[in-house]
Amino acid sequence: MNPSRLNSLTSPLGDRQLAQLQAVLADLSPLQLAWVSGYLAALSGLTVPANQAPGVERVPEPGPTLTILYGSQTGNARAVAESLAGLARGRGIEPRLSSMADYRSRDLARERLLLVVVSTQGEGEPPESARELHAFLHGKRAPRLEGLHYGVLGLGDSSYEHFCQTAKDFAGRLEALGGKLLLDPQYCDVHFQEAATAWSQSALDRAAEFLGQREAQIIQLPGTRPAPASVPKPQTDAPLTAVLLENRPLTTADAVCEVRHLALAIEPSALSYTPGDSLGVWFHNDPALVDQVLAATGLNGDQTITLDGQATELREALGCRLELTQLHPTVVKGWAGLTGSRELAALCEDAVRLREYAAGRQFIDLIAEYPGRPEAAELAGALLPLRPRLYSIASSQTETPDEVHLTVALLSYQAGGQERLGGASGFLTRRLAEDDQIRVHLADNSAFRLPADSDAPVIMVAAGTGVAPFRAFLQQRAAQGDRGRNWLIFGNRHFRRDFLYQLDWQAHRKAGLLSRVNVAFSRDQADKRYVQHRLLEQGRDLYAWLQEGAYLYCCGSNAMGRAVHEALLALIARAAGVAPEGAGERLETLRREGRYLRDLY
Amino acid sequence: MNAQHSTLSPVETIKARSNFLRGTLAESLTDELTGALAPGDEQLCKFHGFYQQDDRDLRADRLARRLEPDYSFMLRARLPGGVCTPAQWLTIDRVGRELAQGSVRLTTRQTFQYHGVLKGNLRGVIQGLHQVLLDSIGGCGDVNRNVMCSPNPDQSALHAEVYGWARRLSEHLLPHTRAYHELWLDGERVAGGEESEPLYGPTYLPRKFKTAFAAPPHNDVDVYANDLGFIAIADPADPDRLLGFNCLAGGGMGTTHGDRSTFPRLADDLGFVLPEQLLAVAEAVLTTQRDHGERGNRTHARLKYTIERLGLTTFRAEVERRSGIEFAPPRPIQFTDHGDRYGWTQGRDGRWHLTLFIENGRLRDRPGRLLLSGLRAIAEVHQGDFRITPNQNLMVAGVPARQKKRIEALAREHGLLVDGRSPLRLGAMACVAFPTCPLAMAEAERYLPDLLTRLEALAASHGLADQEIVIRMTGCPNGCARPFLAEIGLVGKGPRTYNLLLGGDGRGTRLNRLYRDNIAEAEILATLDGLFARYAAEREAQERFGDFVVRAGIVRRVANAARDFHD
Repeated sequence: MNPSRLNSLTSPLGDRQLAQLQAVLADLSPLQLAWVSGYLAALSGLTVPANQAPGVERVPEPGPTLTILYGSQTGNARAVAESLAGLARGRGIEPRLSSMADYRSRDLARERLLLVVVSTQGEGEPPESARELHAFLHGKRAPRLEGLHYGVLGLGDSSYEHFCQTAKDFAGRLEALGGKLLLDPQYCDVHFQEAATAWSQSALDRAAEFLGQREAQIIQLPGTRPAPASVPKPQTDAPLTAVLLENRPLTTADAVCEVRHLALAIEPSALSYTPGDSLGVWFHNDPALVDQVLAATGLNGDQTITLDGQATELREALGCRLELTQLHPTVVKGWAGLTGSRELAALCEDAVRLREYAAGRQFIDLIAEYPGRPEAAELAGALLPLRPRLYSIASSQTETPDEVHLTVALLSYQAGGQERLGGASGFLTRRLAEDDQIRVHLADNSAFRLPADSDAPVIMVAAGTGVAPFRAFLQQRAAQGDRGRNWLIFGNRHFRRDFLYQLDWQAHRKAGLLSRVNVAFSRDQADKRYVQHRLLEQGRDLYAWLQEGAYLYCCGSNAMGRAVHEALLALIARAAGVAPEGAGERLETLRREGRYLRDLY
Repeated sequence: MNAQHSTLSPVETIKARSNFLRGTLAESLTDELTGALAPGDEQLCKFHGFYQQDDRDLRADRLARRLEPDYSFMLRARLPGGVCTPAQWLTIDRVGRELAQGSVRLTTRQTFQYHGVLKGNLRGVIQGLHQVLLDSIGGCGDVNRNVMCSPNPDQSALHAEVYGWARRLSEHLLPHTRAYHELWLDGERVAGGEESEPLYGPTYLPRKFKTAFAAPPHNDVDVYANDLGFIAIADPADPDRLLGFNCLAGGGMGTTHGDRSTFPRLADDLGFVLPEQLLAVAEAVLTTQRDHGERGNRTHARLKYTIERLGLTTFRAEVERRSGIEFAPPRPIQFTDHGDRYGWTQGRDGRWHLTLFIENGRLRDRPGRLLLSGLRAIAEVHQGDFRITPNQNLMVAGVPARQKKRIEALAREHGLLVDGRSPLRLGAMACVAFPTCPLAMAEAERYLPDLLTRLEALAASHGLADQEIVIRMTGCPNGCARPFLAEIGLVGKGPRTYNLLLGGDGRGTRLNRLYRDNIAEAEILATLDGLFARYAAEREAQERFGDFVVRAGIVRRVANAARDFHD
């Protein structure tokens, strides 16, 4: 920011103060400016974002404070929580915003006003970042919370049996521990935006009442925006631009699943990431697919519809605003209503069958099978909004300051005799050309970070594209000159076809960075072998590493994460000579200490 | 008299530090990050019978995908004289199908080799072979290699005796190290006792060492192309009785393009020895080469260069001194051919032998040509043995008359026995070359069959369709298919180009000479078109093509390869 542009109308400073400030700043080098900005921020007590200063504990301010905790897996809960915090600031309330992963459980006893935003995973499980707090609330050491007023917003998917289970768990435990309900919990389905906005406004109304006289002391700063009428667009809606530099295959032509390495050029000043972070990618649906949907519905793509209060052409909406590739049960239900198909209505009655049906198809398959002639607005209303897809970043900014690398598996399957490609993976790997621009945003993942201790050993367990963040980890450790040992346990299907980044690992080993590698290629022999089998085989050594302070990271699918978890329980029980419950406690201790970290999807 | 070298070749250091061929092979085998071996082990593994290779067609593509080269291993067995039992064949076949991409290759040195064996399957292959008492010790490496022995089925008793000596010599020249058993079989290090290599010493030989036994009148083993050769001498009065051997030394094929100090060489005749003197003489030749061979520059490390350097007289005297045996003057011998006799032949014991043409020695099942399945079916009923010929073919040997029909039917049914192949094709041979051989500069095995089709047409157009002409092709000048003994030799020079050599005698006793350098197919065909025309018009009765080009002065006879091969 150029200080000379400031004037007394756009800042809280008077003309004389401004002149003095400008005089001081004029001679400063960029480095000095950066230091001064940090000094001033500290002086004013502004919070430093958690991801930039992990482990830094803030001294709670005197008097009641609004704390907003979020537990997020894909970034939606985080975005809602950030919007909520933004709304609060708009009302002059400075909230304490934190991921549950960064929050110290025992601080809970001191909270007076708490808003929880949390999502739920497939089988009713909490997201990775919420696990510890969730377990703490359900454990023996949970404190009484008589002085707490709380609200809970859940994000979930009603097509699953355990809809918003984690949010319900939090609400139930906070109540059981003596907390007072600030307002009714809100459990949002996949279309969460509207309900989340409404709940946020209500929650802040109640919070403001609770905070009472403190609100009157808040000084409205000149130049700050008035409180918006709705939740502002979350960070994910204000993306950055990246340019495709390189798109190269990592697998052979005969590999079961095509995986590609993408390098994107970014503006480092606008996008600063840390190994472990993900990149949200905004994609466009395949124009051919849009044409197929238009043809199947008999609609004219040029007609104008209204989407989120904006007029847009139907073709444009289908191309970049509406989800066409991930078929959600809600959409099937909506289509059943539009077509009046009895068969489809019957299918929608059976939640399990409905989920299976949706999982193997795209919207175009649905409307080909159950044709219908909706109005354009009806079609748009039946579809879910297009959300960006998250990819774990496969590079370290220390190595490539102005690039982000992604490891993208091309989702491809046959449906109705046609090849269907994944929305984002098809866009990134097939339709995006070199030098094309795309929209991206950073999804930080402070729950998945390298140890601060450069001497700490690191064990990385990955299957398939789950290995992406570990490429970033090793680049980072190499750049920092970390001396801790590194052990990679990687699984995929075929050694010769899909040993992702094999040459990178070989180079790291040659350089002495990677001290140990074990692999499991499931289809290279008659019996399927996976990473969990290798973990068990290496149990004694792996346990020894953990005893020596190793951090264990696991990245891959949820199913793989569960299998690895079971293997860890078994190997700890065996190596430590303890009962399964004992192994569970030890693993839980590791997790609490931040030494057992997972990034599952 | 010792060879002077300022610096030892790196391979010498690897051997010396290998602790009798162990190196870090055990660690290399457990390294999961790569399908390759550690660099030093890459050399040592040859002594255990295998080479590390990669599919060269895929190198660049895999590099772009951040994948290492497509490493695999070529494993070559030790099979003296190329003889194996039907039970052994069934195992050779099974290992090939299960662990080596469904293929078995017969080599130009009477053994079989597997391609595309993955590192993780090496133990399985070696253990599989061990179950039927086969091994791969010295399949490659700087030791005595597989000992060849002419199959000569018609000389039943004599062949049996010569073959016995081939086997005995192969055993006698085996390295003593337990490394092979430790690494691949029982996995246990035998406790106590310093290991030693009484014959080889800790650095083994300077280079590979090839041995062959020939039984005149057939020179199918190309005995003159070997470091050590023995020509069986039968009693003129009793063709079943073995008198002894003419002992040869210093033959070899390998050359380097553009290096005039390298040359192919025919072995010299050292003289006649009695059968009971054979092991001592062989040992003396081997240790003389061990002590006097070049250890700095591997391109000059074969015995042929040692003999050129020492002089034949000095070399012979040294062998006599070491063995305590004086050579008698060589006995006269006559060779008539160095190819195979296809179809059925009958031995002196009345049993029958069926020689099957196996193009380039490549055995696998292809639609309509189930070669491996066919041999399996034969092995299940066959009561004699199998013999791999020096021309990469296979003989079903020792068949009683009553089984002839059945075995022939099985061979025909599976495409192993096909009538109407031209003499050009039946006499031709090619090495493996691309994509796996790391030395290849041009195609050989994958290309020769097509070229032969064109040459057949060319020969037919000159009325030469029934004329035998020995044609051999290699992808490089190292000479695995012994191209320098062919009437028409094609030696790979670059992608799709070859050196054309002419003038072998069809008996394996005369080297050919370079006629055209670095030419592609069109020029090969045009050149041979003209020569075939002249040959058809000007040849004398029974005159072979190789003899004709020498007589007509088209190429000059190689008199002393060390001096005039490159002239």
